[in-house]
Amino acid sequence: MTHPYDALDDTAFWRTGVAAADPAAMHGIYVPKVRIGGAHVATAGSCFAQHVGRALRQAGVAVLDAEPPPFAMPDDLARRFGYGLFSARYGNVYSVLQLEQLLEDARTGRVDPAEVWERDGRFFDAMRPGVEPDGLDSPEEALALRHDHLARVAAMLAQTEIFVFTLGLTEVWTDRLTGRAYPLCPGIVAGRFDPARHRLHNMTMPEVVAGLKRARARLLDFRPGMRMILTVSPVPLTATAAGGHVLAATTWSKAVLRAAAGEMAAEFADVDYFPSYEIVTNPAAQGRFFGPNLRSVTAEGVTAVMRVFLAAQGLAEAEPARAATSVPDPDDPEAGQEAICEDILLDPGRG
Amino acid sequence: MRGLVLGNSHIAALKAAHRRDPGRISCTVDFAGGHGDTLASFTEDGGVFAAREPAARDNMMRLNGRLDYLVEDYDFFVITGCGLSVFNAIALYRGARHLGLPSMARAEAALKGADDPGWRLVSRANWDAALRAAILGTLGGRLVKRLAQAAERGGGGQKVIAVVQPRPSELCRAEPRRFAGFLRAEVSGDDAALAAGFEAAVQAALAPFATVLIQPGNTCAGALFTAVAYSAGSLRLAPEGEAVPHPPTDFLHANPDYGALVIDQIAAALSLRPAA
Repeated sequence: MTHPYDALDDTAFWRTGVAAADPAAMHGIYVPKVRIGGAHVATAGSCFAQHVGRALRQAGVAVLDAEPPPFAMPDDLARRFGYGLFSARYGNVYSVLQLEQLLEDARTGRVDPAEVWERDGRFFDAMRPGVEPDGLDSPEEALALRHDHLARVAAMLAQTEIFVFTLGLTEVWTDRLTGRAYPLCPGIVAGRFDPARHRLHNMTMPEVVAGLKRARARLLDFRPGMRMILTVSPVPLTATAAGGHVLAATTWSKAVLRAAAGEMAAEFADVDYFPSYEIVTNPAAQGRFFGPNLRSVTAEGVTAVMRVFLAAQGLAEAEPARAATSVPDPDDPEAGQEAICEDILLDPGRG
Repeated sequence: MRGLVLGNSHIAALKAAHRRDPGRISCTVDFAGGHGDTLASFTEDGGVFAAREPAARDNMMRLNGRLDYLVEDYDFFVITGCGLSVFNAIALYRGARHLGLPSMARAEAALKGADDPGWRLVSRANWDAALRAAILGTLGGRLVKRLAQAAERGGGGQKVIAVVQPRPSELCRAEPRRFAGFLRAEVSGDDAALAAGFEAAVQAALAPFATVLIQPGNTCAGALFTAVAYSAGSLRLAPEGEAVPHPPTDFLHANPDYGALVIDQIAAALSLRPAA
C-alpha cells in the first residue's frame, strides 16, 4: 500500500531535512520563484537586510545604491552615516507601515516639518534618525536633506527590477493625529514621547498583508514589472512594549511576519519568499547562528543564509568550500560586521 | 632646546628660511625632509625614528645626510605639509555641498531634486566628520599621531606642532583646469567658508596630538590662495647646499619668505623669542 509520503524528498522529513542535515548548508529549503540574474536589485528592511545587501554585492549582484558616499570616507564613518547599508540612506525600515510611508513619500516628495526631532539643540529626521548620528544644525537642514533623499529614492525605485525587503517588526510607534509610523519610539534617539499623542500599534497578520499589497502596488507604480523578494529577519526583538514577555512577543511578531510573507508569495507570481528566518533559527544549529547576546546573527549564520540564497539563485556554489569565494566568509571581518540597529537603544542595559 | 622639523617638499621653505636666518628662532633645529610619501615609513622603534623602506631610506640619506633621529634628542617636533592642506576641503567640494556654504542659499531648486547639480547635498556634520577623517588619514595626520604617541611612550613630553600646507599660489588661476575646484569655490562665493571649515577641522582633528599652526593671514590672497609674494621663488627640497628653484608653473609651494613667517609662528608657539 502506498501513500503520499512515500514519494517525498528527504527535505520533506524532519529527520533527514533538519536533524541529520548540515544547518550551515541547507539543501532544498529555497527554490527561487523570482530569479535575480542580472537584474537591478534594491534592498531595504530591518538591520538583517544590511547583511543581505552586502552579500549580494559581494556576489556581484547589481545592487542599486541611490546615495553612495559623495566623497572618500573611511568605511566605518560611512556606515555610521548610513551609507552603503541599504540601497539608499533610509536607515532601518523595520515595519511594513514604514515601508508604505517611505514609498508614498518618495512618490509625492512629501516632507513634513513636524517630523523633525530635536535633542540638545541638534535636529533629526524622525523617519531615519540613525543616519545622522551627530544630528543636524537646524530643522531646515533636516528638511532639505529629506527632500534630497526622497528624490533619490524615487529615482532609484524607477530603476529597480527586484525589491528585496526584510520584514523586522510588527510593533510600531505611530502618531495618533497623523497616523505616521516612526522607526523608533519618540524620545529614544531624539524627540519627546507624548503618551497622549504617540501610541504603540502591534500589526496583525491581515494588516501586514494589506500593507505589503499596498507597498507592492506602489512599487509597481515606480516601475511596472518590479518583483519582490520578502524575507523575515531572524533577529529577535530588543524589547517589547506590548505588555508581555519579550520571548513571546518575538515569537508572535515573527510568526505574523512569516505568515504574511508566505501569503504574499502564495498569492502573487512576482513575489517570492526567502527563508532566512528559518535557516538562522533552525534547531539543528543549536543556537550557534546567534551571538552571545542571543540576538545578533553571527558571521557563520549570515554565511549559512546567503550560501543558500546565492546557490539557489545560481550566483554561487552550494558547497561551503567552493562558496567561500563568493559568499561571506566567516573569517572575513566584513561578514561579521555588526549591523547598524537603532532598536538596540531600547535596552538601557545594553552597555 | 632642540627641535626636529619633518616634512615633504613643503619643508624646503622653512629650511631655506632657517639657513638664511638661523637666529630667527632661539634653538637648534634639525630638518628631516623626504620627497612625496617618503616619510610614510618613518616610524619609531626603540626610541629611534627612521624611515624603514629601502627607497625611503635612500631618499632621506640623500636629502638629509642621516637616517636615524633619537626621540630623546628633541624637545619638540614639527610636521609641515604632508597633505595637511585645504585641498582636503576642495576634494569634498568636488562632489558635495552642505547648507553652511553661501552658494547653497541660491540652490533651492537643486535641494528639491529638480535638477542634477553635479554634487550631492550632505549634512554639515557629515562633511566635518569626513574632513576630519581625511585630515587624520593624510601623511601629515599619521605622522602627527605617531610622533605624539612616541613622545608619550618615551615620557619626554615633547611638544608636537603641525604646520598646515600653504594654499596654492594665486597664480594658479592661469591653469583653471588643474585648479578647477578652487576656482569654482571662489566664483560661487564658497571660498571663505571652505577655508574656515578646513582650519576648524584640522584644529579639531589634530588637537589631541598637536598644536596646529594655520597659514598666516597676511600671506593669503583671497580665501584659498597664497599671495604671489609668498609663492614666487619657491625652492625644491634638495640636498644641503643645493638651491633648485621650482618651475614657474609649480603653484603649490611657498618661498623662503613664507617659511620665515612659519618659523616665527613656531617660535611663538614654543615661547621662543628669536635669538639675539
